[in-house]
Amino acid sequence: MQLEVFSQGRSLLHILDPRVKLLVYLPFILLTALSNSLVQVPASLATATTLAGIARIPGPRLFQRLAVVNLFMVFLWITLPFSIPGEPLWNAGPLMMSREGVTLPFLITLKANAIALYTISLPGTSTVMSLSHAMLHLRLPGKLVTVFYFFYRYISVIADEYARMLRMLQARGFHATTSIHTIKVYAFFTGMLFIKSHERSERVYNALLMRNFHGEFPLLAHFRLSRQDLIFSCFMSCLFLTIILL
Amino acid sequence: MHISEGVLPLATLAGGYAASAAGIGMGLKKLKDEQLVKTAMLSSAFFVASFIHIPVGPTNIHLVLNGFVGLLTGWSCFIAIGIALLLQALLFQFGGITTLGINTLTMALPAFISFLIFSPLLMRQSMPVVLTGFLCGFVSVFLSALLLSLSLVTAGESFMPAAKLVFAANTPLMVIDGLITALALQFIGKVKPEMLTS
Repeated sequence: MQLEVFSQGRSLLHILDPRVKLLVYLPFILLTALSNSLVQVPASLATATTLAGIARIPGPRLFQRLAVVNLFMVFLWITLPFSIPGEPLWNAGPLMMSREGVTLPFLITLKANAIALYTISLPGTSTVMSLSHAMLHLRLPGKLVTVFYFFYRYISVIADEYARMLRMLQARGFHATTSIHTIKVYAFFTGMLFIKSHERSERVYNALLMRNFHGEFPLLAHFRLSRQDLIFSCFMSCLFLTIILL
Repeated sequence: MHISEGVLPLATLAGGYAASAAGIGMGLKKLKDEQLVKTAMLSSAFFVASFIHIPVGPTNIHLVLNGFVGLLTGWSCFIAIGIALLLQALLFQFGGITTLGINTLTMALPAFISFLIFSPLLMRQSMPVVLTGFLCGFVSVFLSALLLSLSLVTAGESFMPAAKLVFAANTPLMVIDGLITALALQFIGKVKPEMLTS
């Protein structure tokens, strides 16, 4: 199963140091999430869009992801225009749409899309493995990163197990409907999936123990900052300050 | 079940991170080396199990199973749920990094509460396994939906209707998750009972 769909590529963003990308990423998303300015947020969205362009993210995939992000926004667009009092914009009987009530969901939609674009073009262009290595450098507890490593490592194995079990159900003519039978089948299916994971984890742990595992992995490859990394972080810091001052 | 980026104020985001960090810290302290792999792999199974979609009328809903994971991982449930949400935020843009703290709290705190309440009941067998399982699944999704709506309201009074809508949209999930948790626990109790007692 291919999970890191955006991590393969040859653009500038793909070859940057993941530590630099994370350090640039965090202030930008925080600024975007907390800003309420109708100037800063569009500026941030423009920056994020440019980054996605530099990373040469394939369009159709990108839009698919953004569609998911905007799904939650539907809830806000349905309710907020009518629940915020303000200057009336449009009247429909007892319902009144206010200008402020339209500005807020608009702003939130821009913010969510900007942050999604940052996520795809900065950490998204690194592999999860190099990101977890970078997380160690950013002082996350080693044990937590080890758990995260195993978690990520075995997702594809368990997803294979899942696909195999699903094939078996189909081979026996199972078809999901709204019925207690479907619920029963999926419940036993879920139970089996967890039992298989549990048993596999015991085997894996025993194998690790035999190889003298102490709760963490020695790191063999190390990051080295290049000139590109420094230029990129300087440039992004200036951009960040500019957006703050806007 | 998650909140997107850009909605909540700083206080809620920071509070979510602080509470989740405390939960993860507690989990890490209790987590022995021999449970590392088990916790990680149950978390992978939790991640994969969210691919299961149950048809409900014309649409379908995907399982949450946070109560179920809470029962199986116990003290490490903040870790197991937190890392799964981190990966979803990084790879699929479900939820997000600024909201990771509050989303972890929304999912893991009910899981932890379910563990504290229902794990002793399961051990003592004072209630039929199916009933314990149903309550565990139902209560954990109920509490998660409640926390989600409450955190949405911290963004302002005007988010009240949206919060109610989100809560209402999650009610079918409470029943479905309850049923699945009930039957899955019963299944595990028959096939591999030691998973529930360790």
